[in-house]
Amino acid sequence: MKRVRGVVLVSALAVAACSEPTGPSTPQGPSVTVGNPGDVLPVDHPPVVATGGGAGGGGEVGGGAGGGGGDGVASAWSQRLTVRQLANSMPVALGGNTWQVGAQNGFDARRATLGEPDYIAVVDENLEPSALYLKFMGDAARDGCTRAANADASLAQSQRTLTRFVGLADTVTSNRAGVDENLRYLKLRFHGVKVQPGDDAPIAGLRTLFDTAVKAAAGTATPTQAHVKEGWRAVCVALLTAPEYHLY
Amino acid sequence: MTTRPFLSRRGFLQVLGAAGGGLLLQQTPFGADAFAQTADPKLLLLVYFEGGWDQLLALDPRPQNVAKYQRVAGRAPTSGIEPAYAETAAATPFVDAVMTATGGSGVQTRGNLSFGPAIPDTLLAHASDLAIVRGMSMDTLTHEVGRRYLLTGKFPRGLAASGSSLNTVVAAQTRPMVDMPGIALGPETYNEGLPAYASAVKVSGYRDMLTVMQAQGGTALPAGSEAAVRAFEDADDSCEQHGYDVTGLVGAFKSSRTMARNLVNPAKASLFNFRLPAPTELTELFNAFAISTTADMNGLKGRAALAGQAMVNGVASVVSVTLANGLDDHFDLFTQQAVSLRDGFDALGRLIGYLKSKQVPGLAKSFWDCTTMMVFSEFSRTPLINTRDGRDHHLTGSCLLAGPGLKGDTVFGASTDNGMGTQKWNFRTGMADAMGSLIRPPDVHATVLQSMGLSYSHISNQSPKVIEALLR
Repeated sequence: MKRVRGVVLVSALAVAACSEPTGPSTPQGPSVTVGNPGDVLPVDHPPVVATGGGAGGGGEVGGGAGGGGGDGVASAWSQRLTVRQLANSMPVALGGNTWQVGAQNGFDARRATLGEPDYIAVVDENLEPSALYLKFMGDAARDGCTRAANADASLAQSQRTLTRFVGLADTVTSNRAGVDENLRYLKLRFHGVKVQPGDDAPIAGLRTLFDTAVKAAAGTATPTQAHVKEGWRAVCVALLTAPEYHLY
Repeated sequence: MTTRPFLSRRGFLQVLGAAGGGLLLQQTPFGADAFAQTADPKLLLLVYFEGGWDQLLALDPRPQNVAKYQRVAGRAPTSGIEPAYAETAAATPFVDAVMTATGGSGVQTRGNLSFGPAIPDTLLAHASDLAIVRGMSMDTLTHEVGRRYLLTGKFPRGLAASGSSLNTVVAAQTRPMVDMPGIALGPETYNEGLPAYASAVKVSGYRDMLTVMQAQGGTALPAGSEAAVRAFEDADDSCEQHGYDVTGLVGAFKSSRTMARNLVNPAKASLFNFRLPAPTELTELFNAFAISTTADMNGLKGRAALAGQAMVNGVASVVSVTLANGLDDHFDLFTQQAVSLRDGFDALGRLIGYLKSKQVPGLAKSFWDCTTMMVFSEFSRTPLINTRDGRDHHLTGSCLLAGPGLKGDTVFGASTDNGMGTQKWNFRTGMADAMGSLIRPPDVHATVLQSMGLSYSHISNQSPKVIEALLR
């Protein structure tokens, strides 16, 4: 009970500190739907509420629809995805692409090292975000993102994975609005987080990352499609190796 | 329904007490200073023999040529202890050689220590550094429970391990300045509530080490992109992360992510690029571990060599390694048990020798001089041979210890001469004492940690008793 109160208190502080300005959204053309202000948690996430009706813990904290007071569904402790969950989620996030080690699916090739149960010698999975796990997730992100970025080059814009709201050669300088729109889309796609058009903070770091990677690739030359691809590849890796992707 | 205040007076005082205690703890021997790296590195070698070993063949022998240990007219020995060395010798030439060399007893004596006929010369050579704990009460006959009991020093919850394994505890307290504090070459490893950096990197052999220490080929980002990703990761601090971090999970994730970057070290990875014929830089290592075939590289010798290579090259200072598999011989024990034990102890002896041959940079000491070692199996095998020429599970166990804080050439405890049961010992004098205590795994853990100058407070609920008779 004390731990739950602690969780609620800290969650409330975190969410309160991060509350976003709400205002009318004006989607233009193909756009991520962000017209439902207030949903901070992913769609279908149960509202985070206190259990047991503690004095300070009633009411929803996450701002999700439904639930209220002490009658809502309690949110579980945060935990790491299992290897199998990752193996299933990565192709969804990367438009059918996934981590490959040679000709084999990376999650299958590294399943023993990653600690996936074989139900013979290993019957439960250690879900600790260990250094070994993060090392292989770094490999997985770099490989999977490379495949997704390469695939995007030959797809129509509406079918692309990493560059759905931006041209293949667009940069922060040439199309900042498009880049920002695409970053909001990627934040939603990879992390399930809707970013309001007026809310710059959640994508500012990603924009800097994209811009830096493009400029590093281009050097003193004018960025080409190949240089821009490096930018989106770097953004993809950063999103796939972020805690928001692996924890829930 | 009673409404309780969100933060009661008791809760407030608990928080205040914990904070105050934390500040005070900084000033005690258990505080931050105690965990800092000292001049002498604190290395740990945790060696596991999987399946439950026959201690009569190894650490707790009985002379075969004494009447009470022999069958008479097909009847079990009167002592309830049947070394059965003669039967093993008939199927295993090297045991036969030991029987001949020891005048038919099968017991190999070195100083104050005695060993069964499966212990090879490569380990006997280091007997003066070793301590044997005998007559340890394992409290279980279940493999998983015994294994996890000795790994963590805490009796498991059902089959599930309770607490962190010894290697993790040592890595957390010593915070070694190496590439990866711990590696686990086979054994399970647990981290319950300790920092993520203390978790061992689990590998099964040199190929895994190569995979871990090298970026996957063909996937690297350009240097500029890598630097940008790193800068982003270092600065990234989103609202969602705060939401997930109520139990410290995001902090652990980020810490591990930073450590994962350091794992990738192509220069050091080459230390583990085992291949035949051995390249010049690996010749000494391969000679030390008698590696001459691919099977050697992939087997116990390769694992021991990997452990040694990691320890002497600053890759890892806390290593757990499995040096025998398949000891669970309920059937036909005579053919394989002694061979498996011999191979495991041979690899161990070579590892000790290798650590002795390498000097710690900047110190007039070898790596072995700075290494604390615990060798164990989950329990032992019954002292009597069953009807299928095998041995079943037995509660009384033994283990092998060594370290700069532990006495060498010392035996603590003994199994009884009737059925190899447990008995009580005085932990201070080292003598049998009816008013003393049974020896249990938590006592061994506490002794090992105490000998390293580390805290064993994490197993306080197991009422551990330090075996002072083993401390230097």
